[in-house]
Amino acid sequence: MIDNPKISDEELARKVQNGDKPSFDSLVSRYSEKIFRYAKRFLYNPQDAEDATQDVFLKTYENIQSFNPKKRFSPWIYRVAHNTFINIIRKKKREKIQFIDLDTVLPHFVSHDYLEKEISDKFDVKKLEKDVKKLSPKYREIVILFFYEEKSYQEISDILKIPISTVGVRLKRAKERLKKETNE
Amino acid sequence: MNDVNKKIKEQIESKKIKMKSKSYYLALSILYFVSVIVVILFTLFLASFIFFALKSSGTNEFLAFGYAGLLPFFQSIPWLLILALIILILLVELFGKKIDLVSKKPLVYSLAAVIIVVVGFGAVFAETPIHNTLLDKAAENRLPLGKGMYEKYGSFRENDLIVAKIIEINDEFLLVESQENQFKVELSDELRKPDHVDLFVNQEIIIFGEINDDSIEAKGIKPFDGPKPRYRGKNIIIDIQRSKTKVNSI
Repeated sequence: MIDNPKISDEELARKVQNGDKPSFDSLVSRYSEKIFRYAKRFLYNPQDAEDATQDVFLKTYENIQSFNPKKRFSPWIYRVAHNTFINIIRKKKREKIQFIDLDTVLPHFVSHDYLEKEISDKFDVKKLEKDVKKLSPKYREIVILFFYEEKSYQEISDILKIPISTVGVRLKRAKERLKKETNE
Repeated sequence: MNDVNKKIKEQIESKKIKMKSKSYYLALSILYFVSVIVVILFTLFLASFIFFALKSSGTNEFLAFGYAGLLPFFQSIPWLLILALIILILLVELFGKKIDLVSKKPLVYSLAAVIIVVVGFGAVFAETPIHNTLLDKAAENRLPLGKGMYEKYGSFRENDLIVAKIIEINDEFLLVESQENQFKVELSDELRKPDHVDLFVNQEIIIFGEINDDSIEAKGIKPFDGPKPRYRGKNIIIDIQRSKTKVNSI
């Protein structure tokens, strides 16, 4: 099936909800590269990443009736991907995932614009891909979403279900850790 | 990547993966909504019951007796109920996390909002006659669900708090009459009583101390203006102000 770029993701999702299976193929072709890239960097294992990508789309298909077409599809499918990847990390017990993150408990009174500018201007994380792998999942994921997937603070907040101020603070801390790694 | 796309297509076409229906999500939403309502109502009810129990059991009265009252105050607090309330509040918070508005704000804000609403509602609702009515029903064996809880936490503490009416005052002691007995209360210098309070005959007072036969070793006394004490297991509701003792059943 040839994907018609004029049709929005949300419209495609609505069509899938109404039983149009070929529309799901279009969604797969639009998002599979992105999700695979996200998985590869987050799980840093190509085989895991392939299986995880497959899982994400199967879950997306299975649960698509829970998607509200009035909302944006992209954060929704990235949320499905986030949950899938976190479950994989938990299952494989390679890394520790905290149930409650203290970053989301207290408010952070730092200007978002300042943080966004500060983080993106002075630091080229893309050159440090090897060091990104050494970050803990909560910092690694936010770096991937912001620097590699080029998601905004708002989008990351939608995907991870965390306050926008926490996105900024986590990115700032991730950057500091990366700096420390590169200096060592 | 084409390989992955192909595999996904195959899995869907082979019907190994089935799309969950709209009605499944509708049922799930209804279940979620009902659970939220039940948990919220139960949380509010428990909060109000704790406020009621603190008052009805006389626990709050300890605070009027200074440092001496602090230890029994903390010992009489229904910690188990408070723990249950904390768990319920966290459950409400967890339910709230499903809502974008809540999940995207720092936890401390939503938690503070939940606590303020629960505590505020609890304090106000505890003042309504509902809990007293339920406590009476529990005493009359007409409350199958919650009877134990009302009797355990709602009944007045008899061990170290005595509500009584003054029947005689002299320089050395007070003669008081409680629900069943008369006691002598020694008026020592150490006895704590609120300043500028004159005691008079027929006044209802609360005595903090221990009963030794027909006398009370009092650590403090103060006029009593709380709700009618309800005593556990005795099914007795007394109205000391009017000097009447009404025994429902024993």
